[in-house]
Order: sequence, then structure tokens, then C-alpha cells
Amino acid sequence: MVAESEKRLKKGGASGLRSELAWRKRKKRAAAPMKKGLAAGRFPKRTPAGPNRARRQAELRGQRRLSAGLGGKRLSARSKPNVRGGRRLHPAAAAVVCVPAQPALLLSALRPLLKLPLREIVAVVLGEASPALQAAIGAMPKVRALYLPDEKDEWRARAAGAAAADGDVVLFAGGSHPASSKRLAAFLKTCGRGCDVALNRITPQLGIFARWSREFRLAAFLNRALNRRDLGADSLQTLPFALSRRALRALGPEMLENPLKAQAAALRRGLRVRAAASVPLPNTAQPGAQTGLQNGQAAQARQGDEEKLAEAWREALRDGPFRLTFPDRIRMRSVLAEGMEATVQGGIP
Amino acid sequence: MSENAPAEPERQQDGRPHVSVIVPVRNERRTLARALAEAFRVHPRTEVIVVCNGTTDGSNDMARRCGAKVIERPAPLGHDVGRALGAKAAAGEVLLFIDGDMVIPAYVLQGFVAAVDGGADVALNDYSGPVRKTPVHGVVLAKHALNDLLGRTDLGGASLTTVPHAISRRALEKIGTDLLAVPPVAHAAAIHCGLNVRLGPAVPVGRLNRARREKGHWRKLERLIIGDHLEAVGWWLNRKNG
Repeated sequence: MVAESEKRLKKGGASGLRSELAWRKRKKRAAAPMKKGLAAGRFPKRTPAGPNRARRQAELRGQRRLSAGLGGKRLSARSKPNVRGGRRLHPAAAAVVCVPAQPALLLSALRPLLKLPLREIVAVVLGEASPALQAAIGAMPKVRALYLPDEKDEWRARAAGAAAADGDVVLFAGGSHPASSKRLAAFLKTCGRGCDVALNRITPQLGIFARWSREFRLAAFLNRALNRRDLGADSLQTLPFALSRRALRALGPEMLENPLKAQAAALRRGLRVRAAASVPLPNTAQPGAQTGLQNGQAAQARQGDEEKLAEAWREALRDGPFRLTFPDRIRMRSVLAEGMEATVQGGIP
Repeated sequence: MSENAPAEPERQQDGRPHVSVIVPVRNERRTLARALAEAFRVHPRTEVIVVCNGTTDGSNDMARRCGAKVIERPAPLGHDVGRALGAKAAAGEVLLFIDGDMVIPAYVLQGFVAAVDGGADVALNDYSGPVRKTPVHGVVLAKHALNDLLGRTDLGGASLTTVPHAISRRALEKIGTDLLAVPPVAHAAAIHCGLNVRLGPAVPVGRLNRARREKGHWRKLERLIIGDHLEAVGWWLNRKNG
């Protein structure tokens, strides 16, 4: 290294010194681990050559949104990159979590989210929150609470949280069965790479089809009908998932009240949907688990459930033939209108 | 069933068949005679209606020789249209649907007739397909999902798409013969109309289906049947809307 620098110094006077200093600086940067460079806000000067080099460099500097999918717009001052722990997941991410008004549950739900570089966390608190709980939430600067004491439907509450959340990506996390921050980060990263809907990859956890529950069978058929066989039973019915701002705009936050309908709409409207990571299902979502509802409640839930399913399928089959991309080109249905008598022959006298 | 009971002796007197067995056929000479022989043994008063469509191997003559009524169409009608045509011509109180390429013993078929005689309007084959794996075939998924959507999870993957199955004349009148050409739509109609849809005997037709030489046959069939189920969902949504 010394010999090389001496050679350079001999080559040219003052300009040689400047270039020597610049060369040493570059060398030092290259030798430093990538992580350190990222943490310090410095990025490697060399990005792979290609037509998109300038765009990628701008993305790395945080001056443009990640991915071409969002139109490569410049970020507003409000949504500057949120860097924590040396890993930028997305320029401006928020999270929505629905939790019952119990301090222990709330804390366990928030713990993994607080480790993520999120701009804000919208905690939708269901049930009566005690003043102590409200004070505890108030003490957390990034957490914004949304108190819905009378709301029984968790999906309606989640939709309200989605409407309140502000960010280029919104992560929807489970309140009662929190996932690790590492796994949740994968959803933000997937959206950061240009995906609009990042789903929980649950299909491998479900085991053989015979053990799948009704909701997973219906989600799988919906995906299949909309030509997304690869998604298996992965859908917006299963937490966690993340939505880009583009997806939230296209669907509308209220669509999340019926997650299967939102899934159908996302696929029909050409949003980029993919499975991001596999977060273990809570036991209550496992095939064969009991819902714990009483007879009356169960019947009411079934009724509401049927309506929601119908809505989801209306969304899936909207604006097109019922058969979607599965036309019937082989049946001669016209023959059914013709008379039969002349064609019947034979038989036992 | 009780309201039908007084009419039964009259029908016996007028010589009408009790069971109509409907068999759509297209070049199934190899198995047809045996399949028809079993069909005739289902009930003492049985008519067998063979719907030959696009047959070139003499299956039509064979069916006639066996004593079946034959409906002939020179061109292939496509899946299940033959069943609807056969149902139009049927005179029996119970309509049993089988295929010409599967030889199913008469005692098994009698189970379907007995289920309808016992009060069922629709007796389905209690066969859900290969479900002990993942991912499953699109047809298996579609059948389960349709039953789930119609609130009949108890039926598993049983469907009017799968033969053999039997329906009562009452069911035929309620559903209408034309819908039988798209079995999942007929299935949705039967459940939507509040007919008594039950599971009959289990016949593992997956193992009985003959191998097809035509390239891509099963893939085409899968897409057709998924489309049929979507049509059924659309039909159900229309009826639900009112």
C-alpha cells in the first residue's frame, strides 16, 4: 500500500497529493464493513453499472423512494429515511396493532414494534382503557393510541387504525400473538422493494389439505380463481401483513373490514401481492381450533361471515364473466333447447 | 317422501320405471357393456338412457343391443351436457347418473337409489378426492370451497360433479334439467333451494378414471371445472341478491 501511494505521489505534484488523499479515503471506506458505512449514513460509491445506476445511487442516499414501482418520486421532508440500528427498512413506515385494554397484552404487542424503525405505531385499544394505561401509552413518544371502547369487531378496528396511520408502508401486526421484530421487518422490506401487499406465508404451516379450516380453503380458492395459485392460502385474513400507501389508496382503509374482499380487490386491481415471510399462526387460527363462541354468538358470527364471504366473491367476480379466465369452450349448451323425442331410440319395449 | 308415497302404487301400475340410469358415452366400448349390465341390476324397474355423443367406435349399437334407450348426437357435446339431455328423457322417480367408462357394481349403485328412496333429494358420492396432501388439485379445492361457501362444510368435497350420484324427480323439477349440464351450478341450486342433499356411498372414482392419451387433458379439465365452480358462485350470488 505504501509503495503504491509513493508511486502516485511521484507521478504529479499538488494534484497528485489531492488524488492520493482521495484514493486513501476511498480505500479506507472500501475496507470498512458495509454495515458501519450504512450506519454512518455513508454508502459505497460504487454501485453496479447499468441504466439504473443513478436511480439506485439516489435510492441508497435516501433521496428517492425505493423501487421503481412507486414512480421514483422524491421523498418529502416529512418522510425522510428512518434509520435505526443501521438498517433502513423503508423511508417512512408505520404500524397498526389492535390490542385489548390490558397493560400486559399491550406491552407484549408493542415490544417487537418498538424495535423497528417505524415513524409511528397506531395502537387501537379495544375496551375501556384505565387512566394508568392511557398514561403508559402517552409516555411512549412513537405510539399513538386510538381508543375504541365499544368496538367488538377487530377488523373494523384495524380499518380505523389504517385510516389513522400515516406512512409509505403500513404494517398490520397481531396484538394477541406478537411476532418477532426480525420477522416483522421482512414485511416492511418486501414493501420497500416495490411490493404493494406483503402477506404472511402461512400455507406451509397448514399441513395437508384435509386439515385446513374453512377460511383457508376459501382463501386458497379465491387466489386460485384469480390466477394466483402460488399464494396458496396466504391472504389478508392472516396477520401480520404490510400494505404500501399505493395499496391503501387503491383499496381504501375501510376495505380492511372484510379482509378477503380486500384480498380479492388487491388481486383484481393489479397490485403487487406476494408472501413476505412466515410468521407462526396463533393456536386459535390452527386448523381444528375452537372459536370459543356460544351457540347464539356462533350463529350470528356465521351470518355475518356469510355476508362477508358473499361480498368478497362479488368483488372477485365484478366487472367480468363469472368464469373469469376459465371459459367453457367445450360444452354445446345450445342442444339443451332442442326437442328430444326424435332422438330417443331403442330401449326395452 | 311422505307426500310422494300415495302416488307410488299408481306409477307402478302404469309401468313407468322407478329408476332412470343416465350414462353419457363417447367411445367407451371397452367398458360399456359391463357398466350397463350393472346399471340394469339396480332396480327391477330400471330404464337405462345412454347419451352417445361423438361416438365412432360403435358404442351406440352396443348400448342398443344391451337394451338401453339411446340418444345420439354426432358431435361431442362436451362435459355433462349428455347428463342434462338424458335427464330430459328420463321417466323414473329416481335419476341415477353414472359414466360409461367405469364399471361400478350394482350393489353400490343401489345405495344411491336407497338414499333417495329414503328421503334424500340428492345423494352424492361421498368422495372428496386426494386431500391428504398439499397443494391439492384445483378441482378438489373448488369442490370444498363451494360447499364451504354454501354453508355445507359437512359435505367435504362431495359434489354433483362427481359420479355416481342420484337425484329425486322433485329435485329435478326444482333444479331444472338445463342446470345439470354444469353440475356445480346444479349443486349450488340444490342447496340454495333447500333440497335434502346427503352423502351416499363412497366410490373412489379417482382410481376408476381411465388414463387419457390426449396431452393436457387433465389440465384442461381442471380449468373447466374451476370455471364451473366460479359459475356456480356467480349463480349463488345472483340468487342471494334476490
